[in-house]
This record gives sequence, C-alpha cells and structure tokens, in this order.
Amino acid sequence: MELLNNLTEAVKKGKRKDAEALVKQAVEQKLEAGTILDSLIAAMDDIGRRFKANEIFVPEVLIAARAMKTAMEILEPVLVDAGIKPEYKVVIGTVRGDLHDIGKNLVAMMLKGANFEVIDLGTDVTPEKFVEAARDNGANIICMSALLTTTMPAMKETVDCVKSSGLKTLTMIGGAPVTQEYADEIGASGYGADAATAVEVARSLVSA
Amino acid sequence: MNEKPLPKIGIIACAVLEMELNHFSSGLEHVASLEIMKQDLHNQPELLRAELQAAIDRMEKLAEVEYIVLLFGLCSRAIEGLHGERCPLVAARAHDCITLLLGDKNRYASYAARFPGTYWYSPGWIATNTQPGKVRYESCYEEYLEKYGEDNADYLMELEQSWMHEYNRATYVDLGVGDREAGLAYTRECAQYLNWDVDCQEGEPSLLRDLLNCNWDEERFLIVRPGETFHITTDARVMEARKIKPETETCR
Repeated sequence: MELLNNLTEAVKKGKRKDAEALVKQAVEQKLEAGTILDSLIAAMDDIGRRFKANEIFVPEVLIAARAMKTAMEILEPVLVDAGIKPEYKVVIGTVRGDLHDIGKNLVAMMLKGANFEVIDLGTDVTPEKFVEAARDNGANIICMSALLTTTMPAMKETVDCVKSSGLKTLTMIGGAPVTQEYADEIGASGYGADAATAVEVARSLVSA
Repeated sequence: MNEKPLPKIGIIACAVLEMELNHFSSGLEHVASLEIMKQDLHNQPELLRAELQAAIDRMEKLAEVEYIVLLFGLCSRAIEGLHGERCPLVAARAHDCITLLLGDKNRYASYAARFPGTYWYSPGWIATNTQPGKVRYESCYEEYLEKYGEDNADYLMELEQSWMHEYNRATYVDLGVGDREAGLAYTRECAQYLNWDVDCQEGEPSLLRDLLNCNWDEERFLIVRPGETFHITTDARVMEARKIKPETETCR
C-alpha cells in the first residue's frame, strides 16, 4: 500500500509534517486503524535495527520518534474507537542521583511506538517513587536507566524495593554502563542493551 | 626515603589529564614510556577499551617497563577487560578523572551526592572538548540544521537544552596546573550562558602523585596482575580484580 509505505518512510526520515499529513489521509480513506498503527511500528522497528547496527545515531532516532508521536496523536482516537489499546503498561525513569534522560526518553518513545502505555517519571527517581507509580498504575514493568557508574547501585535498591513491596512488577534496566551480568547480579527481570533491544525484551517479558 | 629504586613504569593517560601528567611526571626517572589517548574516546567506551588494550600491548614490548599505570577511572567501564600479558596494570580506584583531580574518591562521591547536577570543567576538559556553553550550542545547531532541517534542528536543540537544564552547576577543578584565571573565566561564562551556578573546587594532587610514584596502597589503588582484569564494584571500592575468563582471552 503506497500511502502506508510513504507514511513508514516519512516517520523513518523524521519528516513530521509529512507523517502528519499522510496519517490524516489514511484515516480519511478509512484504512483500518490497526494497519496504520502497524506501518508506524514498522518504521520504529527499522529505526531500532539501524540504531543498533550503528547506521544511524541518537538525533535520527529522536526525530523519527517525534514524527511517530505526531502521527500517533492523530491515530490514537481512531484506535480507541476501534477498541485497540495498549495491552501493557510500563513505568520508566532514570534512577536516583542520575539526571541523564536522553537514553531513557528514547526507550520510552520506542516503547510507545511498540504500543506500550508508558508512564514516564523523569529523572532522579527514588526507589519508592518507582514502586508507588507501578502500584498506582498497575504497571507490568518498571524500566530503569542510569548513565553513570556512580548511580548504578540505585538500580539494585529499586529492584530490592520492588521485591520487598510484594508487587509482582517485572524490572528492566539499561544505560551505557549497565550489563546483562549486572542485571543478573541484582535480580532484575531483564536488560536492554539499547533502545531497540529494550523493546524486544519488554515484549518477551510481558508475553512470557 | 625509598630504599629500593622504584619500578619502571609505562603510563597511558587520557588527554584530559595530559597537562597535569606532564607537570607531575616531569623529572621522574622511573617513567620509561608514556602514551596519550584522545579525549573523544570518552564517548565510545568500547573503542576506548580497544585503543587502551592496543597501547598496553605496545608498551609491554618495551622490556624495561615493569608496571603499566593507567590515568583512567572506570570511564563508563572502558577499563574492564584490559589486561597485561607480562606487566601488572595499575589504576586509581576512580569512576573517572574527576577523582584524580579532586584527589579522593570519597570527596567526589559526597560532592556528587550533594550536587548531582554538576558538570565538571578542568584545564584538560576545556582544552580538549567543547564544554557546554554558547560555542557548543551554536556549532551543534548549525550541524543539525544542515542535516535535518530547521523544524527538526529546533526540536533537537530543545532536547539538548532540556538535558542541560537538568544540570545546574558548573564546577571548575584544577591541580594548580594550567591557567586558572582563564579556566575559571571560561567556566563562569558558560555557566552564565546556561544559567547555572558556578563553583570552584581546589584540586588535591596527592592521589595523582602517588599513582605516578608507585605509592600504591590497596585503599586508593588497584593492581591487576596478568590473568586478571578490572571489574566494577558498586560500592566504595569502585573496582576489583577479576580473573579473565578463558573465553574472553581467546575472543578476537
């Protein structure tokens, strides 16, 4: 379908206005909302793959995610009417003492693009705040980010806090200094090496 | 003082500490070799690791070198996996170069806990990197404009600025090396442009001096022997020695 292919391309290139116009056309032509959504998800999947392969970098991902967001704002009411809504909820934030949010924002946008509902708590988020938000929202996963080796220990504290709270919420960690080994060591449910992998891991965690 | 002569050392340092290194290593006869790594490797830990290992391999070929001293911290875990075939490697227990400038990992930790929004400025950082400020903003905008067009460039700069808004303090630190007045003036100018607070912390050279003079106590330094490598600990020790796993020895 040429229109939807063009929509996918516009999102991939970060052409927000084109993406907006094309999604409006698709809606006007009464294309199925789920199919339009799939074309947007396909764009972000491609972005994720190329980001992982070092073919594109953070700015390209950010502008693509923004185009995706603009398109989603138009599509969302149509999805609601069609009874399509995100199945899973994620609470996300950068851990206590750490103010870096570009990576975290990327993961949040990629998760939205993959049809997760995302509750973004921002940066410098305490373990208690993660737990409270997960409880209040009935989140399936808590996603934690840290850029600094100095703030990684706050991930362990958060995982411990989730466990002692009695919540069954899954935990995922990521960020430049974070590894699978560290995730295993602190008992996190998953580790996302990059924004694209984070989405794959989140999908597999909730469907496990 | 020292009865035994000091062991011969090879030094591998980040360009950020080059001025301080030149100052504090001047006249040290036990320094057999010295290599400087480019600062921009800071942003690519895997590449930094590869370049560091290559430098270690080169240095081990120099027969007189007995220990290899790294003027690096964990640096986003870039030093994990580094190993010598013949020489032990030595590093300060530090997350990054700021510990070497402040002279004490605990001082760094308590400052960071008190002021998490601190961006550090030092003579080396100012010389090797475009630190946050007017010049960085303008050159970054130009690049985005050319690559992604005005609408996206504005958006990307907005994101860049929102990241900078999370920071609220420019702290200058030096070891009495370099032009302090100029460094401080630059830091103030950047802080004013970004609407951040400014602070100046007096550096403490004893840690760097002891690192260079082989005065390596367990509390402040880590020595990894052949067959071992550095590994992060998420406690006050910062790092520990770990046996290299057989598969990592043979890979690539």
